[in-house]
Amino acid sequence: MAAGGARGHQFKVVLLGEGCVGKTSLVLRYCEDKFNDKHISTLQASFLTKKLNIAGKRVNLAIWDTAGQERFHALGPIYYRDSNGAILVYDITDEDSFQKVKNWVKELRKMLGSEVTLCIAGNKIDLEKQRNVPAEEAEAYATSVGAKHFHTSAKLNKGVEEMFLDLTKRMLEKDTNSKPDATAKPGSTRRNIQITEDEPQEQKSGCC
Amino acid sequence: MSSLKRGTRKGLHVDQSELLCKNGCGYYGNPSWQGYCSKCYRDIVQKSRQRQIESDHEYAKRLQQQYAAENRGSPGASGGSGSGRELSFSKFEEKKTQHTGSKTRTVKKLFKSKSSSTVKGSPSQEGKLTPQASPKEPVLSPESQKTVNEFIEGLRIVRSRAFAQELYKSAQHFIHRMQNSAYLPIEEQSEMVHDFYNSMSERLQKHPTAGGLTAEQQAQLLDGVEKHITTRLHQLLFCPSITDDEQRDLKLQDRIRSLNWVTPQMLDTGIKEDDAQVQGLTDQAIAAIIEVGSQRSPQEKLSCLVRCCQHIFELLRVSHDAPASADEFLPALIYITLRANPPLLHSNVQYITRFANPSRLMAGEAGYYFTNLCCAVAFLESLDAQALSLSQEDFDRYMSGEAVPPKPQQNDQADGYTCEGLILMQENIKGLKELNAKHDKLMEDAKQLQQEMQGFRDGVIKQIQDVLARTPLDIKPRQPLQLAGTPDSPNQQDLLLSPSTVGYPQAGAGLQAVTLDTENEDNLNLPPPLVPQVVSTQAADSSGP
Repeated sequence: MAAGGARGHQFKVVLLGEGCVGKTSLVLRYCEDKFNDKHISTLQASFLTKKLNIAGKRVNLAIWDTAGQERFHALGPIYYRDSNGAILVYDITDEDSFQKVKNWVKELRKMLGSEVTLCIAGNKIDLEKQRNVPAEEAEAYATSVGAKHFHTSAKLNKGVEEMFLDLTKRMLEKDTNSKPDATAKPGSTRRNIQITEDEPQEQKSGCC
Repeated sequence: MSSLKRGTRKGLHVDQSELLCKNGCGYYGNPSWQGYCSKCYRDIVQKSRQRQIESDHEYAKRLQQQYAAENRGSPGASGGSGSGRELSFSKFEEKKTQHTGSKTRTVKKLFKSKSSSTVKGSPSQEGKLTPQASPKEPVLSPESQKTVNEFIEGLRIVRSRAFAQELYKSAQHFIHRMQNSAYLPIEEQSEMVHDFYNSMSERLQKHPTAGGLTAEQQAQLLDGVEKHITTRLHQLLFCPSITDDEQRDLKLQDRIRSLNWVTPQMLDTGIKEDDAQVQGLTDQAIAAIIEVGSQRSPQEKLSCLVRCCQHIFELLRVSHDAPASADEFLPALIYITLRANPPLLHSNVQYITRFANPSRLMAGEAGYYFTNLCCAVAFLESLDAQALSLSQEDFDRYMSGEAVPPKPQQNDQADGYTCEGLILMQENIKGLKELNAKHDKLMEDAKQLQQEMQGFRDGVIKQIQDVLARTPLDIKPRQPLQLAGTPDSPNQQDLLLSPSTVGYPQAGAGLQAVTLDTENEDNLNLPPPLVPQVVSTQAADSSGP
C-alpha cells in the first residue's frame, strides 16, 4: 500500500509485457532519458525509482520490471502483489503480445480488483508501417477494462513521460480517496506469499 | 513418552469402573497402566518397544541402501525411486513429530550454534547498558547483546531522554510478550510483530517530542527497532517448531539437489560460463546468497541478498554489455539459487516475509530482489520439462540421473561428463600451455635481442675500427715539434695536442697539463701569440720533476 504522510507517497508500479516488446527501453527512457545508449549509468534496468512532485505532493515511484518469458508467466502474482499500478506493454507490430496483455489484465483484475491502476502502452510506434494491432481496437479494449491507452515509442521518446505522469496522477487520486482503509490492509494481503500450496495441517491427536 | 500418550488415548474409552486387567489375567488393572495390571503392561510396553527398535533398524537399513544407491548412481538418483523415497520421508516426518523437536532438528541447531559462535560481540558494556536484566534471560547471546547496544546507540538521536527510554521499554516489553506467546500460530505472531512496527511508527510520528526528527531519522529508528526485536527473537521466530518450515526446507533442498543438472543455457540466462570473470562473480553471488542464512535480522538477510543480486547484475553486464532487465535477471537468479542450494531457504523466505517491516518488502530495492527470490523458489519448485524446453522423457531421465544433458559448448573435450574440477584442470593445463608457449617465445626474443645487441656491438666496434683505420689517430705532432724545436719530449707534445683533437684515451693527462698551464700565473704576463709552445714546454718542464 502506498504510504502517505511525511515521507510522501510510495507507489509500486509493475511493468508487464512479453519478451521483446520494449519494457526495458521504456523504463530506461523514462528514468534516464536514454535509448540503447552505451552511457546508461545504471547497472540494471529491472528495478528503478523515480521521484516526482505533482501539485506539491511528493511521489516516489518504484518501477518493477518483470520477466516476460512465457515460462515465468505463472510467477506473475508474486510480482504484482500489492502494486498500485501496472503498465502493460505490447508491441504494435506483434498481435500476439497484445493478446498477452489481455491475459494479464484479466489476471490483475482478478487478483487485485479495481485497486490497481492500469495503463496499456502500444510501444514501437516508430514502426507504424508494420502495425499489426489496430489502434482503435486497442483503445476500445483499454476503455472497456478501465485502463488508459497510450501510444509510445521509447526510441523517439514519444508518449513515455505522459504515460507515467498520467498513471501517477490517477494513482494519487485513488490513494487519497481510499486513505482510511489503507492502514488495515497489509496484514491480510501478505498471506499470499506462501510459496507452495499448503498441505493440510494434520489434526492434533485428541488426547487431553 | 509419546507412545504412552498414544496408549492413554486408546485406553480412554475403557470404562473407569472396569477395574480388572484388560488382559483378563484376573489381577486389578490401573488407568495409568492403560487398564492393564502391572505385569501385563510391562509385557506390552516391552513388545511395542521391541517393535519400535525393529522398525528403526529397518528404516536405518533402508536409508543406508538409499544413500548407497544415490552415491553409486549420479546425485539425481532420488527421482527414480520416487515412491520409496516419499514413503521413507513421511516415516521420517512421523518420527520427527513424535520426538517433538529436540532430536531431529539437528540441521537447524547446527546452524544456530554456528551463527551464534562465529560472531562474538563486545561483552564490555554489559552491565551498564542493560537497564532491565530480566530474570527470564539472565545471559544474552553476544549477538543479542550487540544489537541491544546498537539499539540504545540508535536511540540517542531522540532528543527527549524520557521518550527514548519509553521506546526502549516498550520494545523490551514487546520482546517479553512475544517470548510468552511462542505457542501462538505463527501468523498471529507475525501479525503481532507487524502491529508493533505500526504502533512504533505512529508513535514516532505523533509524539510531541519526536517532532524534531526528520523522516530519515524516523526510518532509521524504525529500522533499529526492527533489527533489535528480530535479532532478540530470532531463536523463537526463525523456523519455529510449530510450523512445517523445516520439512519444507529439506524438501526444497532435495528438490534443488535433484535439479543440479540444469545448465544456464536451459534457463536462457546467456551467462558466459567459461569466462573467468563471470566465474568469479558467480562464486561471489553464491557466497552472498548462502550468507543470508547466517544473519539474524531480516534487514541483514536482505542486505546479503542485495549483495548477491548486485554480483548477478555485474555478471550480466559482463555477459551482455547492457543494463540487465528482469528478463535476464530472473533466470540468472534462478541459476545462482540452483547452484548455491542455500540451506534453510524456505525458512529464510518465510522468516523475512513474516517479520520484516512490510514497507521494506513492498517498495524498496531489497523488496524487489526478495520478490525475485520468491519467484525463483516458486519456479524451481514447479519446474517441469516444458519450462526448460525439454521433452518429458529427457527431463525424466535427467531427473532420475540416468543421463546427463550434453554440454552445449563445444570445447576441445566434447564429452559432457567432465566435472567442474576436471574442467578447471583442463583449463589450467591449457593456460599453462599458453604460458609455456609465451615463455618460449620470450626466451627466443631475448636470444634474438642478445644476438642483435652483440651484432650491434660488433658493428659499432667495427665501425670505430674502420674510422680509426681511415683516420688514424697517430697524428704526428710534427708541426708543433718543428715550431718549438724541442724534439726531446714528444710525449709531452702529444699530450698537449690531445684535448684539442680527437678524444684520446689519455685525455686526462693532457688536461692536467692544460690546467697546469692555466694555473701558472706567470704565463698571463707572457705575450700569447708567438710563443705558446715555449710556455707549454716550460710548464711541462716545471711540472716534470
